[in-house]
Amino acid sequence: MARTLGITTVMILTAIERRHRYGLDIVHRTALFPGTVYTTLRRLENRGLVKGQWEDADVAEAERRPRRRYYALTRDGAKALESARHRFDELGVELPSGLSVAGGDEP
Amino acid sequence: MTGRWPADRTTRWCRRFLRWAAVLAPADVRAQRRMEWEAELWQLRATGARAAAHVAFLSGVLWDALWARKEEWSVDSVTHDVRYAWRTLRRSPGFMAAAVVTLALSIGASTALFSMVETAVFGDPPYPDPDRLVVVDMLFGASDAEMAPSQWSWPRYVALREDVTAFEDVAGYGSRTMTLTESGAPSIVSAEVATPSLFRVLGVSAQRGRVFGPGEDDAGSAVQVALVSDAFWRTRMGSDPGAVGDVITLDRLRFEVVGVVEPGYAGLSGSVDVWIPFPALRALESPGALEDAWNQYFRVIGRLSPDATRERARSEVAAFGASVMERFPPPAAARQLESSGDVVPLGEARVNAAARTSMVATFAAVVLVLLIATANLAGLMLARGLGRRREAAVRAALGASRARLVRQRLGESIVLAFIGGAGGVAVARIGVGVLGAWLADSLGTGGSRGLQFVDPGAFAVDWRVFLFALAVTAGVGLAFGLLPALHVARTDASEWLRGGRATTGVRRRVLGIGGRDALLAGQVVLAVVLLSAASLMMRTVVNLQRVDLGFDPDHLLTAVYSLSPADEQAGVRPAVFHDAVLERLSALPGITAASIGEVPMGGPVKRTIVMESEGRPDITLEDHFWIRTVRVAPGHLEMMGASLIEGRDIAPGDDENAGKVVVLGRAAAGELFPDGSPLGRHVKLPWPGYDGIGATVVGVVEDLALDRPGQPPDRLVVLPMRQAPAPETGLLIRVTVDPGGLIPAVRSAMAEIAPNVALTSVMSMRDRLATTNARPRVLTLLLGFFGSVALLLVAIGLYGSIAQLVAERTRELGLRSALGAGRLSIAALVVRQGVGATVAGVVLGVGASAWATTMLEGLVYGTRTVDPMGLAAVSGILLCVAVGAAWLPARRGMRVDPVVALKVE
Repeated sequence: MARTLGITTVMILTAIERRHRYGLDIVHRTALFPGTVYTTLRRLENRGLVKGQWEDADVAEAERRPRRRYYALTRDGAKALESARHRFDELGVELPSGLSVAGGDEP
Repeated sequence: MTGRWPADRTTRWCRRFLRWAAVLAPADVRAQRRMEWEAELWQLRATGARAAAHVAFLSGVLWDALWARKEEWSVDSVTHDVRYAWRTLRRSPGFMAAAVVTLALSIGASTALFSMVETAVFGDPPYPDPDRLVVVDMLFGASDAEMAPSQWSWPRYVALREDVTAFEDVAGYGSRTMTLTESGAPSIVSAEVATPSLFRVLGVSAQRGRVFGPGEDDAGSAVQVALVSDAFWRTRMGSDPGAVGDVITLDRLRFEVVGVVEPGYAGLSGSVDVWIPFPALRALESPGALEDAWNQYFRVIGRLSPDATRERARSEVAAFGASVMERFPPPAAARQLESSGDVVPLGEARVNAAARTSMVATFAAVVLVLLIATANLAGLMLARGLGRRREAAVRAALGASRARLVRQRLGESIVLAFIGGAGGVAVARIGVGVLGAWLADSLGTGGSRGLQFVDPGAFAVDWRVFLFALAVTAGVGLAFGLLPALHVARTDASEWLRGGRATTGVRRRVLGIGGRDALLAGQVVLAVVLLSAASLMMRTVVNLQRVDLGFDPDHLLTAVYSLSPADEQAGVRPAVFHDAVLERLSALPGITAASIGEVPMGGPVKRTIVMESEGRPDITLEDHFWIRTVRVAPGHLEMMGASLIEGRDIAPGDDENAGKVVVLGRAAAGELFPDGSPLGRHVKLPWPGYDGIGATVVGVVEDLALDRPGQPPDRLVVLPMRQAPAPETGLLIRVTVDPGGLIPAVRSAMAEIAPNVALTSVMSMRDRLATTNARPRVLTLLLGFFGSVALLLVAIGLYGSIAQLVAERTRELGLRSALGAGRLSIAALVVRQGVGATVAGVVLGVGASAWATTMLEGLVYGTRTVDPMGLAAVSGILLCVAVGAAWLPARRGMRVDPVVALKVE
């Protein structure tokens, strides 16, 4: 992965920032290919820009479904996202509108 | 958690898919991934997503699973592993040097020999479109017997050319040795009589001047033009740019040089100096040389026309051949024969089976050595690996995947292999250059029908050979690296991290056989095969040397010379000439006796048919009772040291005025006079003077080995030269000193008597024998050398193995010693392990070599390919070497001080 973040990565980070925190949710919001999303998540996790955490077992048990893996931005991740956004703004690049939906949590 | 899954088929299928996909993921993240995917899948099913979304998800899962694997193989990580391997190797320079040298030599030798074998076995004749080229055979045979290829005569060739349509073109080629006279000194050149079409058919052109054209075909009169080869033009004409137009004297006749042939082409036999056209034979032999349909002395080669098949050509030629007896009425001797024709592809026709087998056998030997070296290295790598198990355990604990560990360990062997391989290509280049020609010549470059089988100049490290080297290098690297690398992967991290050497000596055993033992046994098997092949060839050589030749080959100088038709026209009579030569030579110092006759393994070879024999009234001309005729000077048999069985030698009294006499060889006497002694009885030959009453048999002699030693002898009849003179003869001179030293004296004496008659093939009989036996001798040398190398490698491998064993089991041995075991029993314990593997290897090896050496069938003499004595000897040698190699480290084991051993942690 290059030192600077590419557009898809920025989209994924933004989605995570907007609290769309598990794989399929991110896929849905960013309209990216699931494979891209998952592998980017692995890379981001390796680099310490996001942190993955298993859902609380009781919650999952209660809803009678398997435990999900949730992702959240780390401090480094937030910083990297910020600088990437600056860069895109300077270049005049607009992020896809799908991400501009202000979304709340979705289970 | 999992019990709430919807029970429909799609869900079940998807979950199964996830299970499979999980296998693709690296082991350390497998479980996590699967959990995550299952959660996602549940979501997908719960929200009732469309099929497209399912497909996208599942392929995404696949992508995710493979991603981690892909990361392992990124250029970065591979480079890292290679550099790590290099650093590790550098820490043991001794090991690296030994490994690289071994690899370079064995890969180099294999590659060099592959280039030779590739040319011999797969090589195409070096002409354009070689698979359209065929040799056209004229076949003759008695009715029931097999037809044998014979040669062509000019009228038959012309008829063939007109009749047969399947060929684009046909050409005739015949070989001839001629005497070139330059500034008074005669020398022998190798000439080829060729039709102009030969150069078209083979696609050969001239670099200067021209090749033969329509003027040199069927012309009415003698045409005395010649072509010279590039080599001849360089060495004999000094690369003179004005060579075209020069005149050279061949067989006393003047020929104008009209062209220099392109470099690299030296005739179909590979050694031609000059070409002359067929019409020139009218001047060289006789005006009617091209008219006699039964004067057959050359061969025919043809190029199939683009639309013709070989089958069509074959049937046309066979029909033509069958018609020959009617169209060209045969002489008496041939009347009962049947004729036919055949067509043989050039590539097939020129094969020399014995040479090819020897080359393949040599190549196989080298490959065996390579395999043994590889097995040896594998053992060494295993030993090294054992010493680094702790390091591997740490890495595994830190998260290196199994595949990564294996790859890192394999990296070392691949790096070693490629360094060795690069060295090997260099070795091969040098080897081919230095030894290529010698090896090819010794093993045989001549094929049948006067064709050249392999051109030693064609051995080169070309792209095919290089590819072979590459494949071998990669294969070898994998082979000797894989076992130790996989060994690493089975490391139990916890055991090693605890610092345990307590469990030394535990080796993973499959069916009770350890990896190193199997390697050792394998090496022994290969070494046994190699050594038994060497022993077979050695026996062959010894047998050949012990063969009774029927004459005394020591202190015998031999040569061949011939009077040309021009000489005879000039009035020289052969018998008188030969007598003069003998008289002159006998007077030279150092010469005890001189005679003429047939030079064994040198010629000239003459045969005829027996017309009648008193002892066998049933034999007639039609039976084609072939017999070899040797014309000798008086006292020849005595001089040769041949043993007379009955009667007498040829005497001075047997001259042109006396009655015709002959001496028969044992085989001929036995067949022609089976009922009793042939002395005083008569034999008739189809020659004037021998066909009336016939010749009287005055003696019977033990057969002489005139061809290769060890071949069943030809039926022989010895005649006095004065009664049956011939222009071509062999010269045999018994000397007191080294025959080679007298060659100059003999040559100058000959030059005095007859300046334009050249002596050919002047060498001592011993040298001649050596040349004939060259192939088995060279093979013995090669196989013996490789066998010794194999033996050395096995010894080293065994030594290393036992030494390591002792080191590993120091504690155990110390314990045993402390508990009262005798020193010898400890040594025996150690030796037994290593020698056990050797014994197994020997047993398997004997079986394997019995199978493998059948390949040498055509090359051995005087022994079967399965030679129990040889195998026993080889087994014995290997066992002795094994015990010896095991003994040294075992002695160290014997001396283990129990106190010291038990203290060692």
